[in-house]
Amino acid sequence: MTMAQSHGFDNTVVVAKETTYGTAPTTGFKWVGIVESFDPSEAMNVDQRRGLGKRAPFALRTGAREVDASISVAVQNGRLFAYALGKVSSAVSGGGNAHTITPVGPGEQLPSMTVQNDNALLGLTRNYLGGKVDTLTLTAEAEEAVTMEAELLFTKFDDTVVTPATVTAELDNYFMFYEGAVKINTVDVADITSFELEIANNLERKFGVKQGDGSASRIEEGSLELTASITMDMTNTTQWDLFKQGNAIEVELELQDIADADHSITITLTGGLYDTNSLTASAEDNQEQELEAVFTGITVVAVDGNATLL
Amino acid sequence: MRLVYKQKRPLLILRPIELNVKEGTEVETKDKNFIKDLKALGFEVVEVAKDKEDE
Repeated sequence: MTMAQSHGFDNTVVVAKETTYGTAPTTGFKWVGIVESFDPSEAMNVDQRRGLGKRAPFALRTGAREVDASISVAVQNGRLFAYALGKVSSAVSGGGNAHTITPVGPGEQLPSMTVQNDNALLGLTRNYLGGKVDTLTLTAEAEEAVTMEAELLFTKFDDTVVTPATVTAELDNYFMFYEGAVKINTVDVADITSFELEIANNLERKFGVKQGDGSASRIEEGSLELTASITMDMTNTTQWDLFKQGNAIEVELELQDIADADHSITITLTGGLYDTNSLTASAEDNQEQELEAVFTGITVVAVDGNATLL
Repeated sequence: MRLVYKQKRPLLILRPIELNVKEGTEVETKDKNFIKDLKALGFEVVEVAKDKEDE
């Protein structure tokens, strides 16, 4: 009998918060959005030992194991923000729950996650353990669905899971560009054609001299970086003036489900400055303005029907 | 164990069974992890006697 080739749709990907670092929970795996792709990579970093008297490698040993993944989703909820920033407080809001998400600070750590990828066709279930979000990029672009891509670092993987986790998809709308509104310094800016936010935790994988299989001991968070790239139709000089004068900016992106008042995500970036400005004049094109900004603070408020995000 | 969904928010369970979930949807299972997840989603137990008979 010929074995069928596995397809992407044979797979599921869900995420659970670890209560013990690097240990997979058996229940409580949650939906992070409509997953368009999950791209894990496992590297053994094989050590090729050269030795006198032999031209080819004398011997090989597996080295420090590096396990990473990227996950790309159509945005439905604030769960990836919760893992990327770390602190969540939830309260009832209207017919849903408002989850206020802020960054962990000094003396605090990001929550660790287990990401489970189950391939139903081949019966291959892999848990990626001790994971943290290295970078999270949200992209809202005209004529497109709003997407997020997370780059994740793990300490190790494990495929000895007995039973795949429960997978429950949320059926809330994924957000579209036309459900977005951007305010800069509390003023609506309707000419934005592309908004990209990146949260970078500058993670570092730490190895120790310990008996084991070469897996990392832990993932350490570094400094937080918050940057945004904005492209807009050039219809006025307001943002140019803010850039030129080095004025402080506060930027808010609100995504509001047009069919559900209790489903929204609002990102507020504070303490910002424009870093770069680009105004290209091209003979055959409408003029666009591209700006990059850095910020010192972020708050995300995600309203949905989830009781908890983490 | 038989459980019934008591929430209004529709969901789609993909694993271990594929099931569209709306208020009043019932699930019968003996899988302890699945039961725990179902309860977390808003399912409530309506029948446990059958499980006891099976044991």
